[in-house]
Amino acid sequence: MQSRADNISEEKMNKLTIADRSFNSRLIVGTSRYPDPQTMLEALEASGTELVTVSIRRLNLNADNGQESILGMLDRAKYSILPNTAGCYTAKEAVLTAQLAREALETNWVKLEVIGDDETLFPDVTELLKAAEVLIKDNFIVLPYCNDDPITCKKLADMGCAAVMPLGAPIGSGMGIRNPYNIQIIRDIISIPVIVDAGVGTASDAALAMELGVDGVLMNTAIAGAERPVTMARAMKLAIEAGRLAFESGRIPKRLYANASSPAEGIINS
Amino acid sequence: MMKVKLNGVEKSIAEKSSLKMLIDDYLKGKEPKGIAAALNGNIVPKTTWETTGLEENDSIEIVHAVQGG
Repeated sequence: MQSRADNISEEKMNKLTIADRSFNSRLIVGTSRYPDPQTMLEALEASGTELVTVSIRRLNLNADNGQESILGMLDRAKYSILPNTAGCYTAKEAVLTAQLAREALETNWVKLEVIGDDETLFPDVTELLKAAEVLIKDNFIVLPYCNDDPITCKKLADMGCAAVMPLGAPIGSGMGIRNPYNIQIIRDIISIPVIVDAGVGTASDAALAMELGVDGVLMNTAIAGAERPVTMARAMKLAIEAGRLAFESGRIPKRLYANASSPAEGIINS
Repeated sequence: MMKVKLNGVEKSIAEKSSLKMLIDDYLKGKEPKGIAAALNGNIVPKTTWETTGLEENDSIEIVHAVQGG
């Protein structure tokens, strides 16, 4: 029989709250790099996500570059849209991109990315902090993609960001959570939502992130780049739920030696 | 005529064109939904496109949302 306490924590598990909005799923999914739009839609459905990322790019009506507007593809009653500032290398570019996104999409939410170098795609911390400060003053709900550095995360949280989104590993690398200890420290010292953004390769990576106590995971390539994206999307949904439930359950401490699970009393003597 | 840069490409337009005229022409009758514009690195809200006059060598960006991660 399930105890009342279990019921309460299960309710809590289901919701991810960022700023003034609650989501039933703790998975945030990118909309890029799928084999085709139909696969993207099916993968989003299978992932259970309610929050998806998009990019802002030049409109070229004559383009045959596959960059058609995504607004026609997504049901906005079903998915909240989180525009990113991907491709920006300076605070100035990122701020302008966020403002354009707000105008085009009528949302003041932004996944703030300020990249330092195109090989690692690691964030440029000084530019990121600068951009975050400007955007918060301009009434944006800022979700910054940042390094797995507790001090940077603390600064972003203190400044008024709505969440911090430390990377697990470089974008698109599929390397998983390279520094779980830092993610754990970030979780401990930050009171706003912590979302692991980037690096996840497979379901166990997502589960590990959730077991560390983070509030959610943002991923794109791990799903879109899988041989079967829709199946992987479902795997990620289950992993996020399993990891979160494990965290909420309070795992047993690790110990070096065995601890018998069968009773020590009443063992027969021969 | 005067020269401006639209999404990185040089273009000749009539003098005293407004930003709205340029965007309407670019969209070829398509509704400007889900679109935003910047002039010389600053955002120009849709409500002021009509009153924003363009000048020689202005740089205009017209953007929309695409698939992204």
